[in-house]
Amino acid sequence: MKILGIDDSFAVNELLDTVLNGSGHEFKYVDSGKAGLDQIRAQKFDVVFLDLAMPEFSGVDVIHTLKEEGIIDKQKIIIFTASSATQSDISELIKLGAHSCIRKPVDIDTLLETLDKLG
Amino acid sequence: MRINLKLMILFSAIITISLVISTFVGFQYTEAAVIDSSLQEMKNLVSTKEKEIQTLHARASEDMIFAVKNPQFKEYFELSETKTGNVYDENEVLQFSSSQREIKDDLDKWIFHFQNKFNVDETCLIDLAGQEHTRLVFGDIAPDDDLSPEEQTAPFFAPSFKKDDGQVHIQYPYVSPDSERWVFAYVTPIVLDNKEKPAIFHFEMPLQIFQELVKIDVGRIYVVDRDGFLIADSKYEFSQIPTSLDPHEDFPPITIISESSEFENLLQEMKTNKDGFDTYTKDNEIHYITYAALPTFGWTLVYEKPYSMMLAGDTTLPNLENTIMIMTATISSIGLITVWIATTRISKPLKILARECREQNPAHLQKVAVSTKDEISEVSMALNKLIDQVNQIERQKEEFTSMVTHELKTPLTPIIGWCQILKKPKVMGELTDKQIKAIDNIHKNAKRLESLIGDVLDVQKLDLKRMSFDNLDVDVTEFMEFLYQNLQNAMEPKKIQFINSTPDTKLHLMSDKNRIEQVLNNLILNAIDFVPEKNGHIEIGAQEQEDSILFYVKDNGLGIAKDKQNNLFKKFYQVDSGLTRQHGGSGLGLTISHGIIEELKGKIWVDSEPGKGSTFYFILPKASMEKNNKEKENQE
Repeated sequence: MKILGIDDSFAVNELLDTVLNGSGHEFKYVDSGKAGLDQIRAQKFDVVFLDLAMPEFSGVDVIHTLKEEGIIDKQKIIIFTASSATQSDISELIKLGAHSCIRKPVDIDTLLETLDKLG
Repeated sequence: MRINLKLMILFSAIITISLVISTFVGFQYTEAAVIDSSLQEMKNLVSTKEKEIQTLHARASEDMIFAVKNPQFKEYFELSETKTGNVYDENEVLQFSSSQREIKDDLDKWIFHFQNKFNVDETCLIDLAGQEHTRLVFGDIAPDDDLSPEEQTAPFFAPSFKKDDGQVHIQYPYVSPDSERWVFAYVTPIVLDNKEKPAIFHFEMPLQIFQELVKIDVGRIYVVDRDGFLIADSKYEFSQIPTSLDPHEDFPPITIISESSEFENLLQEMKTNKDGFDTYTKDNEIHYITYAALPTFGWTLVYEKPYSMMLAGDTTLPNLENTIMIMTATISSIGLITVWIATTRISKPLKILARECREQNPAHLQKVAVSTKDEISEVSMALNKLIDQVNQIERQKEEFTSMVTHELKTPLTPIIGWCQILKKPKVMGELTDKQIKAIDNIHKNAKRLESLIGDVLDVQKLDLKRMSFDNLDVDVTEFMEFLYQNLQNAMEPKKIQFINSTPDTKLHLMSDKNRIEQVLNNLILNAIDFVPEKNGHIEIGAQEQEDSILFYVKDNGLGIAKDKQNNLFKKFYQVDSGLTRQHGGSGLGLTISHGIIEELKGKIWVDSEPGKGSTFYFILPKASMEKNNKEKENQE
């Protein structure tokens, strides 16, 4: 699958790059919300991993923007949430158009399972 | 002691002292004033009496002068027979010529008339030789043979002839041989046209008249002579029958008034000063005296009153007393009330301030709201400043901790992540067993670190009451089953017998599923650590109660001693620090569980005995926690 990663953490991006590209997926990443929007507008991705806690333009802002622009359903957006987020918080975002969430710190096995289920 | 009481006592003390002083001073002044005024009255009275006495003398004199204005006196002495001299018979009785007799009879009548009109005991007419020509005693005309020829020996004789026409000599009291009582004599000369004084006209006025004058209702008035004898005294009964011709035997001495030497000195003073006032002590009481010198004989008129009488009938002092008492009562009441109000205005804001401070949540200090525009406000503002600073420090602490833990957490993702990738041969290629073991080790410890950091963050959140919770429907049965399945693997190593006793009935409650799971996980993992190596037994379950659900985790482990149970839920408490921790025990697990259950409006406790295993219980209300979450939102 074509996967986009939007996360300000280089370590995470690198990790995902190795895992996903090494597991037969096509993965690229950007390190800001704005860059991520550009990418989404330009191409179609199957899955977008979206980190919520980013400075300046957060994951939530990205989701709001995508919703406004009507392109939120083009891809399955999987958000990385802090472990302290409540169900309510998550359902809010899912209502807006996110597909599901993975708790941080990201567990690679869980991530791969999720992808398999989507695929 | 409370401020109110302190100030009220102080105020009372001040008022009492002031009042005592002012009362004392007031009384002194008022008393002095009253006495002054009393003294003035006394002086006035003495003045009046003095005038009366002078009037007495004056009138007597005038009467006299008037009496001798009768021209028949002159006529009588103009007669040639009279001029020639007295004629006596063989019995030494004065003989009168017919012309003399005629005039004498007229004079007798005149004098009789005169005697009746005025207070006169005896009247007589005495010539130069000392011969009485006529005499009336109590209106009785003395017969010729009774007329005394030796009047020249009378004390008033010589001085009277020295007087001129219209002048009267007043004679010092003596016992009258005629009336046989103490009398004054008033004498005036008969003066002929050629200035000759052939005779004197004399009358005696009883001393009693004088003594009657010296009377008073209030106090004591008396007349004292130069030698210290009382001529008159309002409080002494003078006997009308003289016992002696010597006034110093018949009249009482001044010592009947007082025998003190002080009084004696007063006498001396009175002799020198003529007029004045003074005091002396008698019968333990101060007596006030006013005196004035009388015009005659060097006598002094004295009026005295004791202290008590000076104040008697005076309403000023009792009024003053009343006034002071009323004023005291009024001032005290008003004062005390004012002090009470004033101190309340101070103490009330202080109490409010104290209360607001007491009720503060130290984790989330709020400003105190006391604004009284005085020093208390200053305290309040200083406190608020402090609160701001503390809050800021707290915020900084929070930020710091958050940042630190966030920073700590961040590398964990790649560490754990890479461990996971390494174990994927597809991605990383085949690994040797040793390599796999190494990676497992790294992974395990990284996960442990992750768990510890997570615990620290949770504890901080709970402390700051910044953990937010879901309030959603939880299907208890389903949830417990899910948990049961998840933990099967964990039971493997020790082959623990694991049971879920949750009944099949539809159990629901409104709460936060994830957090309940966190608590149960914690309790179960603890239980795994403490059950014996063989035949370990853990039972979990949930029971419906009236308004709540009771959850429990039961194990057959070591058990916990009663004295250790109190500290179980405290931070970093480890029941037995020797035991290896297999499941990431930070010592915070129970603290966090306790915190979470408290925030979920529940209660958590343990039932345990050493050697008999432990059962951890917690109870959660079925009802919604709307209010709880709203409070949180408001805080943030």
